[in-house]
Amino acid sequence: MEWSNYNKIISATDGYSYLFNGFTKQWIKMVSSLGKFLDEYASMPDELQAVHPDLYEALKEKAFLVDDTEKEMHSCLNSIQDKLNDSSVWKLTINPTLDCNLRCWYCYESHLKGSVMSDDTINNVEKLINNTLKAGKVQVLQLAFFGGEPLLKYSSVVLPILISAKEACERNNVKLFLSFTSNSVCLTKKVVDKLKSICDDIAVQVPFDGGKTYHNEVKHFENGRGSYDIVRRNIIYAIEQGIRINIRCNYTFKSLMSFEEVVRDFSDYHHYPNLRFSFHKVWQEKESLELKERMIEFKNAVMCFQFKSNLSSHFGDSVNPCYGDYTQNIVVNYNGDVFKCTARDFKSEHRVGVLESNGTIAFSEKNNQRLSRRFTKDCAKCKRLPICPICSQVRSESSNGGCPIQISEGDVGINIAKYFYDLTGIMYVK
Amino acid sequence: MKVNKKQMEPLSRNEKGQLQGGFCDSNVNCNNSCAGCNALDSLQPHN
Repeated sequence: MEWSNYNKIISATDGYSYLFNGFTKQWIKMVSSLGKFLDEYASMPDELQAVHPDLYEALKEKAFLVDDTEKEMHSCLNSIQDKLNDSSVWKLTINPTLDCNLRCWYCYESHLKGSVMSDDTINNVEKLINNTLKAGKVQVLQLAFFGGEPLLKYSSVVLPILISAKEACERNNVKLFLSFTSNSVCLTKKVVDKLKSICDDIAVQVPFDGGKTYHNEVKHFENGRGSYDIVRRNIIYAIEQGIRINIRCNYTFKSLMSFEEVVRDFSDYHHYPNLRFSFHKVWQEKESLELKERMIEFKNAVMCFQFKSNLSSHFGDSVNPCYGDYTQNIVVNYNGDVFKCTARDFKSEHRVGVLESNGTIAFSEKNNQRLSRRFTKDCAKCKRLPICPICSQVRSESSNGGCPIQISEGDVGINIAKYFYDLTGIMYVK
Repeated sequence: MKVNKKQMEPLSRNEKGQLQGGFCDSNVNCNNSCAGCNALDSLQPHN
């Protein structure tokens, strides 16, 4: 037998050691002296059988010991591929427009004024949905609206596509999940009521830039009026109607402490299961020791509140593969260009295909390249492979075909320990 | 909810001098409230 390539012995702050396997997500709790002992025997597992037969059997049973690590690596690669190639869930994201009613300084998009999905393209999207659902493989349609600000084109684009998608789902016995990434200025009571009458499972991600003053400095209308109060009022109604609201807190060193005000402003709704806060550093802001210290200060400041968030999580949403990595995932831009994810500028030279007038997609070579370069030449031997958060877009852009980040073995170990913490709440000794 | 069904026996030696106990191979209690699990609930893109 061989020691699994994905094993990691973690010393925890509760005084125990944990043997964790990143592939199987299994773990064994042990007294710390046994953890140290096991560390010594990792390179000679067969000798362990004579010394601690019960532990040896448990390690075999839970695949901490495997017949062949080469086979294990292929099995891990195959399981990731199987997950990403799942055809039962179809993730379809639509950009009704690239225009926005606000101008946030950090936005990576170019805000194409006047851009809007034409009736012809709406028609083609509806045909695409019909064709795909009719084929019979899809069981769940995750329909998302992005942009620009998607609700700017609520009546002319969102509503007709949504109604058509709902009918197609009903005809083909497909479950519909609906989501929006929206500043929620236009998420009025009327819009919420209509959306709820069409779909009962709706999620909205709403970005905040800090407390009222900070938020209004960033998210204001052309006349300078801030959007904080409007958005707060809108999403409170949405929360009350059962829409899952994720308040995405885009923080900088300067604005971080002001998010205490945002947390407080929703304190009457913290107990709602459909409200969650998600904290993300604005991507232009640099990591620094000062920022880490301020985050600790912030956590202490909001400790008195009981709300759902990613504050105690290392990996956050990255414990799941990026939605863009799935084969059955596409983003259709307002002009019919097709992309794999929303985290890049929507320039035609980056598209992976084009939506045709018959409701099919003509994929380009770029799509095949991305799908075929899901793994780099370094992935196979990497202990982090089963939990690696690097998306295939970044992997496929690697200049030398290797891992795009040069991570040390020590940092891989810390990553696995952090993942274990996210999974179990058991903290590793730093 | 996963429940820890096994108790951890103390690490000791048996009559043959082999080690026994000192570990629990049943994944520990999960109250479904940790942040990682909450993160899984979200369908939202994370870019």
